This record gives sequence, C-alpha cells and structure tokens, in this order.
Amino acid sequence: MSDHHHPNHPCCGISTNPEDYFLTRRQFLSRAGMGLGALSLASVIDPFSAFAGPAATPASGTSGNLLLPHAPHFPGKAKCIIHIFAQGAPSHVDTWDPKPALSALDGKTLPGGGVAMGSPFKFTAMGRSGLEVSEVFAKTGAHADDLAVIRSMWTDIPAHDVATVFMNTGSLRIAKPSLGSWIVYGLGTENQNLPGFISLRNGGLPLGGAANYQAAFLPGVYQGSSVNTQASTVEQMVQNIRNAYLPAAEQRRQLEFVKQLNTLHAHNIQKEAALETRLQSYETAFRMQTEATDAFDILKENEATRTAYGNTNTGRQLLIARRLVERGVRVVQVWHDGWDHHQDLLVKLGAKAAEIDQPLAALLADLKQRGLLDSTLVVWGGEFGRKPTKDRNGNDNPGRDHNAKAFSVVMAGGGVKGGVVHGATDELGAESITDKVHVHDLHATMLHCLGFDHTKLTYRFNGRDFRLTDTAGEVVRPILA
Amino acid sequence: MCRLTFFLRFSLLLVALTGHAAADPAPAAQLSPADHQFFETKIRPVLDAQCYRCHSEKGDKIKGGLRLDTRAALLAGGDSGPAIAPGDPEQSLLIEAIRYTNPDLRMPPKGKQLPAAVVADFVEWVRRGAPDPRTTEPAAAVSSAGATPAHLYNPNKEHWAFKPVLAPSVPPTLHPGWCQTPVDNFILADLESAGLQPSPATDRRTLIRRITFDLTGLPPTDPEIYTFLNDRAPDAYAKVVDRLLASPHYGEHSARAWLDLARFAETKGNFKRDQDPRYIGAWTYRDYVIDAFNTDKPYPAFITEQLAADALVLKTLARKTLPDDTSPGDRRILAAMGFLTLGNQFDGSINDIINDRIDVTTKAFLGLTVSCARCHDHKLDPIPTKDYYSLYGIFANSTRPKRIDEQPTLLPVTETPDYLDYLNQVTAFREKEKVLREDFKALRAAGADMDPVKRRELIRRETLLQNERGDLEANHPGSPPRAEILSDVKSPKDFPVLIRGEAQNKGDLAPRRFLEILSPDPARRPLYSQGSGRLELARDIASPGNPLTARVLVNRVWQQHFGAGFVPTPDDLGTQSAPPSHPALLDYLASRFVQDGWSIKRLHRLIVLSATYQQGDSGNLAYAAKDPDNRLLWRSNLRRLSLESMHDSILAIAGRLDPAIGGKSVRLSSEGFATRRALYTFIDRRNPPEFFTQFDFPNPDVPSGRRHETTVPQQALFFMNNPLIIETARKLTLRPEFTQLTRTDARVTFLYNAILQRLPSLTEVKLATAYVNTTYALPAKEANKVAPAPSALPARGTPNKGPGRRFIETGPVGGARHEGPLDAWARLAHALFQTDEAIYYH
Repeated sequence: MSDHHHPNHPCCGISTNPEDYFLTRRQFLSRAGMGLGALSLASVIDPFSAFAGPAATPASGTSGNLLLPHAPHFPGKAKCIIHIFAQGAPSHVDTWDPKPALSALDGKTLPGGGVAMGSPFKFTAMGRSGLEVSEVFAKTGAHADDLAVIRSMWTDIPAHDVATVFMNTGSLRIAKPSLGSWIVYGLGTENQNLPGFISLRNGGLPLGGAANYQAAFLPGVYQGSSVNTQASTVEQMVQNIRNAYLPAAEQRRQLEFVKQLNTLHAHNIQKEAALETRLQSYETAFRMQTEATDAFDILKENEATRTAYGNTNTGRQLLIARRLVERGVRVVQVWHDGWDHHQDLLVKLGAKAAEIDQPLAALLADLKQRGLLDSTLVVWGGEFGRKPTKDRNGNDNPGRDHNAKAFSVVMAGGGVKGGVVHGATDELGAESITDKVHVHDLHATMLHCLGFDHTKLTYRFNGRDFRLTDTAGEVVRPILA
Repeated sequence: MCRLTFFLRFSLLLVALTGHAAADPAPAAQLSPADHQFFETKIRPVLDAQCYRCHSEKGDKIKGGLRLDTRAALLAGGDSGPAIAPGDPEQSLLIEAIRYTNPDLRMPPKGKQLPAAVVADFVEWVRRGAPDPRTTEPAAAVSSAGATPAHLYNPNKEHWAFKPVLAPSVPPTLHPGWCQTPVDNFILADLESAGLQPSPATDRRTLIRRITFDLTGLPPTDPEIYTFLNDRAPDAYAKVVDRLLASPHYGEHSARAWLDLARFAETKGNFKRDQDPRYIGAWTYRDYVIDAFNTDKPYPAFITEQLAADALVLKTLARKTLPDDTSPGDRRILAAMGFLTLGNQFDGSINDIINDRIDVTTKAFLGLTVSCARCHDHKLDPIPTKDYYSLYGIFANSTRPKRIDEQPTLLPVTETPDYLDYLNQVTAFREKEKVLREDFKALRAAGADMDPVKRRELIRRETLLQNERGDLEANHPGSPPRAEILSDVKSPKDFPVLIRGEAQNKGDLAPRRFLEILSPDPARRPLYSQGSGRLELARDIASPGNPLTARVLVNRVWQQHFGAGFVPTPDDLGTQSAPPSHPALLDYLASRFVQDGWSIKRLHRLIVLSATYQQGDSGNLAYAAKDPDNRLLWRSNLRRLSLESMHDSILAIAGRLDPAIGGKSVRLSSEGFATRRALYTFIDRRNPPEFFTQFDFPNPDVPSGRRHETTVPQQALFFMNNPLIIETARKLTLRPEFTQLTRTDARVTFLYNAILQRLPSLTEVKLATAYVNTTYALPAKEANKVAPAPSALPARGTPNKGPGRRFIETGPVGGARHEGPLDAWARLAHALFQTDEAIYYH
C-alpha cells in the first residue's frame, strides 16, 4: 500500500466489496501483526511519533486506519464543517424571512384558515448586501455579507423527531449514516488524536438520540462522538479522559499487553471488523487523553475571547467547536435545542435567539480572524419551519405551529457566497415557492462545498449503493462561491 | 405493418416475460426504499396525471384494453401486448409510445408529449426492472380517511406477515442424527440446500458461558462451570438450561430487553411544571416485568395486563374506586400499566401522549409502525389514518391520575412506624398545598390585574412543593409502592380523524375498534364497547388468530439467542422489513409458542436446546465467502455484552454483586450502582447517564427492540480509566481466595478463570507473568506518577429544583473513589477486564 489514499476511498473508486470492510481472519491477523500492531509497538517508545502531523506519511502504514485524510472528488473549498442544529424548528418569518404582507394582515383570518400573526420582530437591511435580518439576530447580522440565506427550504414531515433525524441522515425511517459520518467516511480526518466527528450536546441527548450522529451501516469508526458541553470540567465533559492510577508509559505498556492477549485469542471470522474497530478505538482513546484535555479546555483561551463568545453554555459550545476545527476535527455538530415555540413566541423566541446570536457572531469573527472561515463551512438551521398563523394553543401569548413547507437555513464560510438570499416563500411565508430547496438538496450542497459529487459518495450495503441523498438532491449552485 | 411489428414484439416479449416470471426482478414486497421513492416521486405522479384517465380502473374508459394502474396490468398489457418488459426499455411499448418516435404509437395522445426528463425517468424505471409497489390497487387505493390523495395510499396486503401463521411440518434432512429439536430440521434443511454443513458443537466451557449470558446476562460461576464439566449425563446441558430458566436473574435479564421496548424511564421528559419530574411508581413496573418473566406469565396475560390491568382488577373486584380497595393479589398487576404511562409527557400535549401510547403498543406487540398513520394513511403498510384514530379514541378515553394520592398502592399497607411517619409527612404536605391553593385563589380574585410577579412566584412554589412530594415518595422508607395506571373516563366516546394530524382539522368519526389489516373480517369489525376499549384491544392483540403477535415475540426471542432475528428489524415486520431468513421456522415456532400455552420459557428451551444453538465455529472460509453474515446459521455468532451485562459481570466477577431482585432504583453515582444490577439504575429520560449512552443504551423516548452496537473511543476510555472498573479489579485481587495463592501461575489462572471463565494457555501464563514481573521491577515513583487533574471550568449547572430540575449525575460512577496506588496484580486484573474476550462471547 504505497499510496497514501485508502484503496477504498471514492477518489480511487469506492469499494463496493463488503470484504474490504469486513476483513477475513487472515487479513486481520496480518494487519494485527504488521499493520496497526507494528505501528503500536513503535509507539511504545514514543506514543506520539507515529501520528506526528495532520496527514500521516505513507511510511506510517495506512492499512486498516480508515480515518486517515483522503482527497475528495474535487478540491472542495471547505475542509471542515460546523453544523449548528437549531432543534425544535425555528420560525423563519421571525428570523431570516421577513414578511411585510403578513404583518399587514396581523390578526385577520386568512382564507386558508387560521389567524395571521405578523412577526413581532423588526427586520433591518444589513451590510453592503442589504441582507434583511431580524433584530433577534442583530449581532450575527453584522456578518450579513458573509451569510448565504436559503429561504426556500422544505422537508417531508413536520414532526420533530422524524424531521430532526431526517435533516441529519436524509432518512425518514430506515437507520442510515449521518451527514457527519458520510463526510468522515469520504474525507477521513486531519487529527488522528481526536474523533473525526464530534457532536456537542448541551445536557441530555438530542431528540432522535444517537441516530443523529450514527454511522449506521458504515464502519463504526465514522460514528460521531457525543460530548456534553454542559459539564463543569473537561474530565466530566469527556468522561474518563484521565487515568489517575497509571503513568502514560505504564498505561501504554498495559495496552500493548492487552493487545497481545487479544491477538492470541482472535479466532472469529465475520466479526473481526468489530474487533479491529475496538483496537482502533483504544488507540484513539489513548491519544485523546492528551489531545482532548487540551481541546475542550476553554480556559486555555484568553479572557477577551471567552467574553466575546459570551460566558454561556452556547458560547462555550461554539468556542469548543472552533477549538476542535482548528485542531483538524472534520465535523462538529452543535446542538442548540428549544426552538419549538407554540406559545409565547415574542418572549421565548427572542430569548432563544439571544442565546446563539452573540456566540455565532463571535464564531464567525473568530474564524475569519484566524483565516479559518474560508475552509470552514458554518451552517445554522433547524428541522422545519413554522406557520404564519397563530398557534391555537397560545391564545394570549401566541406562537406558531409546525410547518414542513417552508423554513430558512443560513450558511457561511467555506464554499458559499456571502450576502446572498436564495429562493423565496410565498408572500405570507406559508410555503416555499421559488427555487425550492429540499433537505436532500441542502445535503448535496454541503457535500459539494467539501468537494464531493453527492451522487458518487456511495457505500454498498445490502446489495445496493447507498448515498446520503438517496435518489434525489441537487446542488444549490447560485450560493456557491 | 404496425400490427405485424407488434405481433413480433409480442412474441419476443413473451420470451422475455417468461424469463422474468421465475424471478420477478422487483416483487413488491422487496422494493428497496430508493426504488419505492423513485416510483412514488417520478413515475406514479405522471401515470396519475397523464395516463389514468384512459388507462385505469377508475378512469372514464379503458382504452386499448390497457390499464396502467397495477403492476400486473402493466405486465399483462392491452390489445397490443404487454406495456413493459422489465429491465429492457428498448423492448417496452410504453417507452416507445412516450418517446413519440413511432407515428402510430404516441402517448399521451394529441401532441401532449412528455418532457424529455420525464421520458428519461421512465426509461430508467423500466431499466431498473420497473419496480412497482402497486400490487393490490386499485381496490386498496380507496382511502377510508379521505385525508390523503388516493394515489399515495398503497398498502401491501399481500405481505407475508399479515397472512395467518401456518403450522409448517418439520422438514426432512439428510442428517437427521444431528437434529436435537425441530428447530434443527429447519436450519439444517436450508443449510443442506445451500450446500453447507453446520459447525461442530462448541466446547462445554464456551457453551455454558454462552447460555448463561444469554439467559441471565451474567457469567457462570466457578461451581456452575465445574458441575457442568463434570456432569456426564446426556441431559447435563438441559439441566443447565432449566436451572438458568428457573433463576430469578433470568427475569431481570429478560426484563431489561422489554424495558427498552417499553421506552422505560423514570421521569416525564417534558412535563407540566405543576408536577414533579419523576414517575414515582416507575420502579414497580420494572419489577412487574421481572416477575412476569420469572413466573413465565402466559404472553396474552402479559399483554392484557400491560394494556388493561385496571379493567381486569375492576372486573374482579366489581368496585369503582381503586385507591381504597384492599384486595391484595390482583391489584399488584396494576403496576403493569407503566407500559402505557411511562413515556414522555410532551409538555402535556395530549395528542402527542396518545401518539406515544399508540406507538409503544403497536411496535412492541405487533411490530407495526402505526404512528405513521397519524397524519396520512401509512404510505407503506396497510394502516389507514382512520385506524390510527380508532386507536386514538381508545387512549383518549383513558386518563392518568393527576395526583400521587390517586395512584393506587400495590399492596395493602401495614402500619409500620415508617409508614406512619410517611403519612404524617403527607399530611403536612397537604397542609402546605392547601395554603398554596388559597394563595392562588387570592391571586385570581384580582382578575385582570393579576400581579405577574406574584403569579410566577406561586407557580414556582407549587413546583417546589411537588418536588418535595416526589422526594418523599422516592426516598422515604415508608412510602408505599404505587402503580402508574390509566383508567377509563366516565363516558367514553369516539373521536374524529384529525386530517393531516392537525387538531383543528376534524374529519369523520373513527369508531374504536381493531386495525383493519389484522381483523379476520375487516368489513365487520366489532366496535369496542367496554369503557375505553383497552381490554378489547388487548384481547384482539393477544388473540391466537392475530398473525403478528406470536411472530413478533418469537422473532425477539430468536434475536436474543443469535444476535439477529429472522427479521432484522424486530419492531417492524411491515412491508418495509426484510423478508425473514427462515420463514417456515418462524411460523413453526410461532405456532408452537401458541400451542405451548404462550410460554416464553418453553420457547427459549426449544431454541437453546437445539444443535443449531450449540454450534461452534468451523471457520470454513468457503462458507464465510458464501454466507458472510451467517444468515443460514452454519456457525455460532460472536456476541458483545450489553452495557448491563458488562456492568453486572464485572461486579459478579469481583464478588460485589447484590443478588436482591427489585426495589427502588439506585442513582448512577451512588454506591448502589457498584453493587446492584444495572437495570436498577435510575434513568432520567432527559439525561440518560453518559456512561449508558456511550455503551448504546437506547433513547428512552422511543421503543427500541434492538440496540446499536457501536465502538467508540469513549468506551475504551471507560475500560482504561474509570475508577469503578479499576477499583473492582483491585477488589478481586484482595479476595482471600486470591491472596492465599502464592504461586504466580496459580494467581494468573485464578484471574483468567474469574474474569474470562476459562483457564489460561501456557503462553498466556508466560505473558502475564512477564507483565507482572516488569511492573514489580519498576521504581515506585515511576510506576505511580500520574498526570495532574485538569482545571475546572466555570460552573454551568442547571438548577436541581424547580421546573428545570434534572437528574444529572456528576459524581463518579458507582461512587468509586481512588483508593491508592495499584499493585502489579491489580494492574493485571484490570488488563484482563480490557480484553476483547471480557466483553465478547461466542
């Protein structure tokens, strides 16, 4: 294996042979003996020598390590992605899709049923582009000329759990790999000492649970690692990150010993992929102990930076997100939930947006200042949008009900133009009508920014080539840089 | 000229079609989701809009004798012959017609030529073999709900799982001597016809480890292993199986799988703020399930009690008020209703709560995703929206008690000092509640001038008060066990269909009754008339005539023993599921299960006594190439321990496991977690412990019949660094049985035997000895100098009282504390806990 590309990688023609992933016993033993095993023995002397740089050298032996960086189909502008998931379905007409006609009808019964509810928030044209931004996103709006707003999103089913998983996996029912898993499968990751795909949650599991960052039928190494950023120490955030008993060298010796025992005992054919994945997970875990402790420790940032992001849970999440992409993590998913405003929209949506507005503005400024924005695709959006009418549940303090036919997604950074609006909803914001963008189209566009033809990033499973966009998906070209 | 060409083509087509007839390229039941979507998005809308007017049953007329509204009709064709040749667009008349190249055959007619892109779609469709889900249309296309355009409702009623369970005869095989139970005849017959042979039986150590983990979730003990190894009687293994099925740990292990399915957790998720977040009776449901498995409760009773124990108890006692009655035996089954009640509260949204109850009921017992039909007729399974609202009506006529005091106690209470003290505290609590009610009254008296600050304060006081009550129930030793029940409303009624699932958009009334597809006579389905109808629903589900109930349960039990069921999606046996790997065996077991009095223990016995289950792994590479996923079961599968089994076995190995069954749950960060089985851990559904989710504990908001098996670095970090596992390893080496051993090889053997339930090889003894000796040789300073603890971040806690109250575990797992430097033997024990073998079994 002289080529630094993994032979199964799309750029070399993706493997459609399951055996490339499910190793035979012979292959396994040879890899254990000469590939990873040899590599690991070398690391007894210096655990970090083998993976010194971002890209592994050919000499380090790529066999078995599916996470080494690969080139995509064509040079993508973005190298990594921060996907901020505004879970709960944010109202588009109160954030990124101004509807003066709706305000004019405020309080009137609409022909299609329901009472019109104009947005209680003001919109202002911002930046040189004059992008119209709601007051709730005023700080992010200062970056208007870096933002591409898709106002014509639509999805299939307006139920949170299904639509959330759909936005993250492109699948309504069947367990399919998540967007992040596909990306790491396609690109590998730059930093072998951290997981390639990290999902930052704020407390409990997101709706839909691990399905939102699962590898499904892709090899397990592509699964997202979920981290609770609400914890108060790095040790709680990344649990068990520190061994309080053994010095690093002694732990290394212990792991080598365990590996020897495992090799002696490995004698099963079909699940060896699982065992090899386990072996790799130990290697990553060992290196994570140093690297993650550093990456998640925002106290390593100066006071000014921490203040800029806001000393809040969400600010902390985005600051960690930046520290991760800076260190070569390929995909960072950030969960910012609580956007389901059936009632009391004026207060609740305002407060919810305030949680993310400053951190998001700070993230964009910070990435730009560090020269990372051009190579980092930042995406903000939820699973669907909301209706232009009052939700019947909140008569006094109204909110809005679910709407799968229209919502907005905001993108910035690697691969997209700034200061542009794509598509439109009807004059009340009830339904996307012009240049409609389905979830599959958004996925195709995100993959494009990273250098993939979404129709060619495939994986054979159950006798069929699967892809993130299923049988659909069109790249939204007008917003591409 | 034209006719002649058609005639010639027709003959060619006949050849082509005969060729296809044997192996239909895309029978409807096996449509891939992609093909399905392709048809629904690209093909059907065009057929519907452009063709059906003249070429369908529903159309004005049928021109040219050709119908395009079913797959069969397309293949049969019209006056000019078959419309399509699946797989071959160039031989398909339909394609020729829409291409507009033949002046005598142009469709749609009159110059309404289809766009090139649409034609390309049709060409692609035919090339794929014309995958077409429309088998039973147009009859089924008539949607009963009227909520969905008829063309979207396309149920496949021919699906195998909706047909009656057959009782297939046991097939003959070439090697009947191998077969130990009828299971083997089915497996062997399939292996033989594929040219494969089963693997030889595994060794006894492997077998007892396998069966003990499979049935109890625990490793075998040393005496258990040696009793089996030394028992030369022909029924030695059967004795082991019977001992395990009789063990109370069997019920615990089975219960955990059922709790996954019942989306069990002890908190309410998103709840109204005038309550405590906890379900105070959740643990009694868990204990009910353990007991049901241990007593081998017949499955129909298990179903009926979980759905309608209230009706059973009421019927027995002929009383109306549950909390005050004092009959002991029967009322304990009220705990069973936690199955329905322990879901997320969805901010009190009744439609979502009902949806959750429909979802858990239909997935767990029927393997059906009925909740898809909430907004539209199920696009893939024959579940019309109206059926959904028939079930909706059943649950809409059932309510949960609003207050803890209204929740029935499970046993007649004895007036112990603890209980009396508890009662005193309840009385004090009621006093405070009364004061609060007065304050609310005073506030409301102000009417429109209500002081918002005061109102908020009162609401907060109410929440805190409810938390106090929750704490009392959860922590007071005298608090009586209570059930989380539903009971029927006073005057039950039917509810209308909500069109598109929207509350304000009401359609026809949906009478309470069973699902159409599972009813023996769909046209004359009995209406439910006893209260809400839950009892009648339960009986329809538990009926021997129901084609799904027994199959779904058998499939789950099979999965427990082989890692995968006959159908790999245990909660969905609908049309989107893969066809069963062994359809005849599935039906055989399902019919046996019913004949055997729906005894789950007898079903286990039938399966695990088979030669199939007792196989080893021949390692045959040719077989592995032929059947890499071992679908035909020519060998054993490597299995990974679940989170719970992993936890429990670590404790059991170290002699730390408390064998007590049931009781209130323990918190993850309490010492209880370091002694009790993991299924007794308190789960807050909004914050399932990270330790659990890292090891694939399912999201407790949705029913889950099969866990993921992920492998992530966080799992490795647990094994490498967590004090619970390290201190447990140390405790093992502090046991007198270990410390009294002086020889190194004896100590290594002890640890292998304890942790991996086998003896080490000579090489392993040598390696372990070298590892221990090297550790001893290290200077103490070098052996124990560890990395410093990382700095703390600014605290970001959420309140642990009030509306945002969460149960986040911040302390160490199992309350384990670092108890000083580890010696060489503890390090060896810790290493063995980290081997693959410690968490995998054959």
